[in-house]
Order: sequence, then C-alpha cells, then structure tokens
Amino acid sequence: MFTRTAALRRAQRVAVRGFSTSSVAYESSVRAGVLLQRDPIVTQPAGKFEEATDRYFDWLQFISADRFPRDFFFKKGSTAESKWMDQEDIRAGEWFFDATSKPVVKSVKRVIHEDDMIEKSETSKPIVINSRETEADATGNEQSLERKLDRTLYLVVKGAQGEWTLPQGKVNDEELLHEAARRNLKEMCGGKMSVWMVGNGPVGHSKSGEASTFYIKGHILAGQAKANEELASEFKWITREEVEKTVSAEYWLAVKDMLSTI
Amino acid sequence: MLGTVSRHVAALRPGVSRGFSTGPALGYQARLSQYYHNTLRDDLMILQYVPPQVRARQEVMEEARLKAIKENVGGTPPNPLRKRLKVRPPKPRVAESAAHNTPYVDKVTVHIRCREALQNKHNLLSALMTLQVVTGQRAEVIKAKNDAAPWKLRKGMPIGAKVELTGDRMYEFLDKLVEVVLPRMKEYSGLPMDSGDGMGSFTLGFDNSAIGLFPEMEMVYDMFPMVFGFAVNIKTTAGHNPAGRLLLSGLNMPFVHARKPTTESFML
Amino acid sequence: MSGSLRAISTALSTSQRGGLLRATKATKEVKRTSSRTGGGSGAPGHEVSGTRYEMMKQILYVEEPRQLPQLSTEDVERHMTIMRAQKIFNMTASATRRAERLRKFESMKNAYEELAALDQRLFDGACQKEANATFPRQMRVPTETPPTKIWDYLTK
Repeated sequence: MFTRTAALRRAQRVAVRGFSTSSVAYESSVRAGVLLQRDPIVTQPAGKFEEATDRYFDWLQFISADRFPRDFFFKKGSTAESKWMDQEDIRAGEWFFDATSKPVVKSVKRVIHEDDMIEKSETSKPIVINSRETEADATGNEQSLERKLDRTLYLVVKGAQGEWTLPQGKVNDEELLHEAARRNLKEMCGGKMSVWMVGNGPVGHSKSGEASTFYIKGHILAGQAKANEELASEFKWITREEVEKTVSAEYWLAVKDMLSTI
Repeated sequence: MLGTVSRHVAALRPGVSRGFSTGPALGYQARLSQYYHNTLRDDLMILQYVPPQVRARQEVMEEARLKAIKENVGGTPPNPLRKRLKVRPPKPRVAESAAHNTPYVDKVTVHIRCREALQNKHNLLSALMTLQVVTGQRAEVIKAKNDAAPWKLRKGMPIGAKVELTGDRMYEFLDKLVEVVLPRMKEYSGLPMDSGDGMGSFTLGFDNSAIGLFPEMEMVYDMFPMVFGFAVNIKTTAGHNPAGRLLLSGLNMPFVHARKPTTESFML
Repeated sequence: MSGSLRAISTALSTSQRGGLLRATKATKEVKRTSSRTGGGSGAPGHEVSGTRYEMMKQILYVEEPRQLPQLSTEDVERHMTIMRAQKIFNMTASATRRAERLRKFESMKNAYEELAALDQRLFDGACQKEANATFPRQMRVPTETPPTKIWDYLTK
C-alpha cells in the first residue's frame, strides 16, 4: 500500500513538472559548456617603448640613488663583489643626458690577480635560459599546452557536425549547471587532467536555434585533454585571435566577450 | 639602494624582456601584479558576482534581521542612549557587484617593534637597516603616542620602524614573502581561516628567526648586531574577510582549511 | 622608488637639484635621536656592535647621495616628454584593461539574466556560493623565463 502511494506521488510529481508552466519546454533547451583556459606561463614581453622607458628610469634611479655601501654588503674579494663591480662599470658607462654633462667615472673594479681569474672561470657555470619560443611554437602543434607561453589558451573541440565550439553538452534532470558542465567536459575530452572551476555561475552564453548554452569558467592545472571519438573528433588549445579564425562568425559573436586578449 | 646589487643593464640579457632586478622601475610591472591583472581579477569578479535580484533579496533579509535585533534589545525607556549603545552596528555593506570593484591589495605595511631602542637608541638603526634591506625602501621611525610608565616609555620616544609599500614594490615584497620566506619557515602551515580584521585586512607576525630567511638578508646577516621579529599588515579593499581571504589565497598565501574546501581542483 | 622619481621630476622642473632623497621627514627625526645618543650614554659592552652601528649610521644618515648633474634645457624637456609619454602609455593600457573587464562583466551579467528567464532552478544553483572559497595552490604565477618542465602531463 505504502509503496503504491509513493509511486503514485512520484508519478504525480512528474506529471506536475511535465505540465506546469513552461519550465520543462525550456529545460531541454539549456545546455552547459566549459570555458577551459590555460593561464600564461611566462610574463608579458616588454614592448619597445616599455623597454626603453624602463631602461631610462632604471638609469635615472641609479645615478640619483644613495651610494651603494659595498663594504656592508660584500666580503672583500668575494665573487658577489666582483659581479657587482662588473655591473657597476657597465652602468657607469651609460649616459642618457647631454654628453657634455657626463662626469668622469673611475672604475670601481679592483685589480684581480691572474690565479683568481682562472679559479673563477672554472667554477662558474653559465646559466642557460630557456627560450620563450617552444618546440610546439616551431612545429605549430595546436594540441600542445606548451605553445604561446605568454598567452591565455582556450580549449575548443570539433563536434560531431564538424563545427568548432567550446566543449559543451546537455543538462540532465536534477543536475545543476556547473555539475553538467563538469560532466560534459569529462565525457567530451576527459583524459587525465586536473581542473579547477571558477564558481558555479555562467560567464557567458551562446544561442543556436532553440538551445542556449551557458559556459562555466575553468582553469586547467595539469594533465591534457583527450578527445572522445563519439562526441568530439579533435581538440585544440588556441588564443583569442585563433578562436576567431576557427569558429563560425555567429558563434564568435557570442563567445568573444568572455575571452582574454592576453 | 639594494636595487643596484643585482640589477643588470637590459643590454646584458638580450633574450629576456628585462634583466633580473630587485627593485621595480617605472615602466615595469611586477609578475605578481601581472598575474593579478591578467588572471586573478577576472576570477575574483566571477566568484564575487551576486545578481541584482539575489542582492535585493539578501538586503531585505538583512534589514529584517537588524530590525529584529533593534526591537529585542532592552534598555530602560527613559534612557534612549543606553539602548543605542547596546545595538551592534550592522556589518559593513559589501559593495554591489560591478566590473570595477573587485578587491585588490591596497598597501602592505612592514613594521618592527623595537623595545630595545628604549635602552639604547642605536638598536633602532638595526631595525631601520633591516627594513631597508628587505623591502628596498627607506624606513620610517615610529614614535610612542602615549606615556607608558611600566616600560619607562614617554610620549615621543622612538619605539619602532615601519615601511609602507604600494604598487610594484609591494607585489615584489609579497612575492618574496610567499615564495621564499614562508616555505622555508619550519612548522608554518598557513594563516588560520578565522584571521583577518573583519574588513578584509590581514596581519602576519614573525619572530626574529624569520628575518634571516629573506634572500637579501642571508648575505649580510652577520652585519646586524640585533635581529627583530616583524609584522606584515596586508590591507585589501575587500571589505569583508572571505573576500580578502580569497584574494590573498590567489596571491598564493597559504591558508589552513578546517574542512577541505569544495573549490579544490578535481581530476577528470 | 616612484616617490624618488617624482622628487626628481619636480626637482627637474623647478631646477632645484641636489639633496633630493635626503629631505625626508624620517631622516631628520633620526638624525636628532642619533646625535642625542651619540653624545653621552653609550652603554658598556656595546663596543663590538659599535663599529657596525657606526657603519649603519653612516649608510642611513651621513653619506650624501649622488648628485644629479647640471641639466641643459633640452635634457629637462626630454625628461618631461618621456614622463608624459609614460603616463599616456599607462593610461591607455589601463583603459584597455578596463574595457576588457567591462565586456567580460556584461557577458556574465547577461548570461545570468538569460538563465533566470529560462530556468529558475538552474539560476538558483548558479547563485550558490562556497563559504570558504580559496584559489587552488596549483595555480601558477607567470615567471620571467619558462621552467625546464613546462607542463605537468600527469604521466606517472
């Protein structure tokens, strides 16, 4: 008896949901997507103007600063001291004001004995600086997360119809937007990756026909996407400009405001 | 002053945008500042967004709460002043969600309380020099505001030193603190979740063993006759603690979680 | 630093040069205190630290900063032009950033409105906030040069 009433009630509830207001008619039309981004790994490159002004202000600070108390900071004859002396000499050679006003500067450098120099050249290892242009940049591999290190990259996938979009899918009953977004990302390209979602609310939406897709923002922290053949044939990590070239014009208008220019 | 130590001329390092440097020049943006503007700020905006209709609902509830408190609080009727004293002022209102009012770090103050300066004022030199070396900025002397007889302190006596940092220099100091000093501290697990002054500002206190962990101090540690503990006050524009905490955690400041937060990243 | 530069630029514009960084309030204050202590009560047992304190005093309060040279009118003009260009550059950069933030905010606001119109349940779910939200520790602050291992692919 009890189970029957429970079943009856459930049926009633479904019926109410089915026929009340217009919510159900729309419910199927809401879709959830993810705006998954890889954050910049290196700092922004300085432009020509920034580099020039930076150098000027740096120098200005240098010529007007307090005298550097060498005896306080360095032990006499230490490597750190000689490094500092090298830099000081180079800086003293620079002059941005009128050449006639340049004072005569005595080199701060002490005479270094020959055996000291040999010892130094043996011990000091040159520091190799990694290039900001990576292998992925050179080969044009758009699936790599190691490309365009100073930019924000976005994950786009090629859907079943051959259209490039942000990863997205249906919202099931009793599922909230962020849960659906997470599930869809997992189904579409859930390889092995660590993701952090920013809140539960949408950062933007797009419309196609009756359906509205709401996007939740996320950051990829580690791992890599893996396209699920049934839902997505391909994926790419691309910048804002490249998204514009990849997706359809209509879709671009819907998503462009969410994307960073840096 | 310290800026001259490890600063290269840009021409020395053609491959990199700027030579490594300990002090910011005007045309340069510290990396933490870049990170805040390019990545963190958008996330803060998203996490803090409250739609207008939800906010209106919250305000109605808050008003009702305040009204209830006001009516329940006693106080004899002929003495209205007493009644007013008993009502706790409402919490500061959180600013309406907008693109421009995401919280940011306004100012960082580093100060050293130097009680030893009462015996010998030369000790203050140590504190001033320490701050200058660590922050790269000239320190100010703090003077006593009041008399304090038990400590033989009179008004106007120098009692400490402080530095107020803003802009890139502030970001570079925070960066150093978070990336170098805190990880090297033994038994430091992070700020407790209940820290903060209620307005989104946070203070961290350190004993005198922490000052030697700053990379600038390592080289000259022996030159200081006296080392002090110090306090770092981080003033944010968050307006309430959770938002300030969110901002600082974004700048990599560690927090001790009582429970595992739901925003933790997950594996797919 | 920017303070000292500002001092320099004012000094350049008013043609007052020399002693720019000295004239801070803090300097004057401690000069007084240090002269007072220096006069008499040097506590015994402080000889060892005495030389180091002398050195600090020298660094902090006695040594004169480097003097800017006498600048020609062209130099001053050039400097002011650079300052102006810098200011314009910064203003443009922040205006661009602001515009971008504004369009992101509008996009988010519109999405919330649309969602509220379509489905109240999903809207309420989207408005839920975590009480103790913090950023994950794995988020990485950009560095000047790329790391040796650029990306962690979790291949273990």
